[in-house]
Amino acid sequence: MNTWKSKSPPSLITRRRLLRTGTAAIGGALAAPAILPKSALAQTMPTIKIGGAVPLSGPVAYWGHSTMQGFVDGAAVINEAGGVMIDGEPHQLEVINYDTKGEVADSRAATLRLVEQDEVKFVYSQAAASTVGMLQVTEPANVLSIVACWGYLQLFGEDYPLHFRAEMSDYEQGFAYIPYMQDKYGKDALKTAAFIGPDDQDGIDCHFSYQRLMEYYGIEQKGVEYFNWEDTDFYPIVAKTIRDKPDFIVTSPSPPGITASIIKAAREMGYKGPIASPAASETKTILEVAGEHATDVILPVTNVSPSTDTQKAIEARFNERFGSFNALAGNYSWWIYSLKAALEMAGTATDTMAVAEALAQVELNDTYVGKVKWAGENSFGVNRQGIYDCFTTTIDDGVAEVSDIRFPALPDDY
Amino acid sequence: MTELLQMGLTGFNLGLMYALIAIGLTLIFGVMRIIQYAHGEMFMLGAFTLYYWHVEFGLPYWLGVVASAVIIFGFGAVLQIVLFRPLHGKNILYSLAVSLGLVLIISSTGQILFGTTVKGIPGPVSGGVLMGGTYLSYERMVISAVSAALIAGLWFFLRFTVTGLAIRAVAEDPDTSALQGVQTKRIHWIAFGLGSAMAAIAGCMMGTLLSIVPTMGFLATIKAFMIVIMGGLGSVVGALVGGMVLGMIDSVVTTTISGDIALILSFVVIFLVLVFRPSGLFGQNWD
Repeated sequence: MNTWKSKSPPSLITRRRLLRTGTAAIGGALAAPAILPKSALAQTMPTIKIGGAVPLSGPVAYWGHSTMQGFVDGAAVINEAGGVMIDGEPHQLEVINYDTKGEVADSRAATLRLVEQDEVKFVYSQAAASTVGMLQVTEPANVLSIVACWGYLQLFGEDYPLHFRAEMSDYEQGFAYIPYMQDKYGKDALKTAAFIGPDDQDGIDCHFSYQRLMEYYGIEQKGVEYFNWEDTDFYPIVAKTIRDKPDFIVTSPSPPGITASIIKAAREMGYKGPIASPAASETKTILEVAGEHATDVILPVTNVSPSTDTQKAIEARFNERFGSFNALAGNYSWWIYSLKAALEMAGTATDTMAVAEALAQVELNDTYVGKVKWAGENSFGVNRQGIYDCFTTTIDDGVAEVSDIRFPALPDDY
Repeated sequence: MTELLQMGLTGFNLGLMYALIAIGLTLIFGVMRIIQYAHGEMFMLGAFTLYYWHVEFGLPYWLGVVASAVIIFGFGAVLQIVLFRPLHGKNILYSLAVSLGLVLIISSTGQILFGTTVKGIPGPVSGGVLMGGTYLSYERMVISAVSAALIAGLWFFLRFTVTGLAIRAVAEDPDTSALQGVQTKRIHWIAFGLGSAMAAIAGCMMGTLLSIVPTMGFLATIKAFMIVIMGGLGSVVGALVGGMVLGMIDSVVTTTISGDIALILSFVVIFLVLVFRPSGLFGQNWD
């Protein structure tokens, strides 16, 4: 018993020994680049850096984290599969993320750091404030950007040739979910609508998209209400909204918790019409917060039931890598695969204009959101708007399920 | 008429919630003369304690509210003893700096520990009754009743118990109460713990009605300060009245005009109160 102890006396940690060991370790680490072969320290493949200037804290952090997860997971998968092939040479992807806190100034600083310090040529972002801050840096620096941002048009199109809007705004997804709602409830039951959104650029952008959509379908707007992100009780705003008796309510872009609070308040006050939330993209929180009141809820672009092998694999990987999975993160998971296809098609990782031209032509058929392509040439002069299968999840009597999948039937002049 | 009643009920409910948060803050200031900027963080921690107790571990709701109050009471007491006691008697800016640091530490740690996703706490009761177009939610009624009972209980405690009397004595004149044998150090941590526990219970109640996120403390602190300034620093009655005024403005003005106007009007009312009663509606001159 305990023979190992007698053979090997316990080594006491003395201050001198600690200093000696520590010095040796630091010295070794510093000398390693000179001593060891390069392959032992770093990947031999050239690296393509992708930067994220995303809100990882603050009220829209939920969206930022979901976006980041798509890139981190996608880069790992692509690297494991051999990387991005450019002119027959494999390239590794490296994803670098900085928190913008959902603020313009912080986003600008984060993007500057990505472009100047990390020397990235490809940046992604999320929500209006971060996108506005990011664009101040990316376009002048010839950096390609991909974002989720919902309504603005002044920062989009031919004047911003390197800028791609991957997530559908209320306008594009409306060409899937409004026809679905008309099928479900009947056109006559959806003649008027009211809008509730945050009192910031995202809310204004979403209302702009919503307004275009309602005008297209001839739906009368009954009211527009904006809430502050700090608002706690939605009773007053909802009371004002339902006073006009709209046939249905659209709340956008409202995260799941706020969507749930709006649903709960509306139902408690006796409102019976459907409530659509095109950016909530999650059902757990809605069911938790709204409870029994969660009924007649329409959640466009929300796939809560992964069914294809690709979708199931994404869900499993995200659960393993990040400890959780939400449908929104699934929605954003295709961006990096689209970029990979563009890099390979363009045959360059440095000429961002060539990559942008290639990216506009990319079509993917098997992503978390099904079929994906870039569109909008007639509207914006360039194909820069992501369009994809719209999975519409409904919640009725506390049960959430995917009720409809359709590619948005956009107008011919889009 | 129906709409007016609905607005009144909502305002009353909101007012009680606001008062519950603000009373804790005013108690801490009244006894210790420190500005506890991290009061909203106690509100947030209280809500998350209940969330983990009730949602994650499936334990009983009301026991969770009690557990939350006890835990945050202890946390507040420790903070007072470790961080604020050494600053006692020094310039108020020292305690302000410490509490601002606490805001950043607690809310950032909250985001790391609890995540940034919004969470919800299912209420202990559900349903309601529609009376002539006015909806009476059982959940809101229960929560209002609990809040009102707590405020009344605190008033009773301060008024009719020995410790309550000691708290009021220290708030009134700490040196004289010390000469009379009151252990002021003990009263300080009790008051700090009690104020924090009130915020925690408010967090539990509001977290149940709405949703919770680690950054929720910021607004609670702002609202609490608005109410305390309006009602008068150190005044429990002032906090109740201030909470009611702010709750009614939030409800009535947001419903009839807009949320932005409600915010502007809230500050206009505070400015008017300060112009005509610089110590607040029920406050005393702390200079």
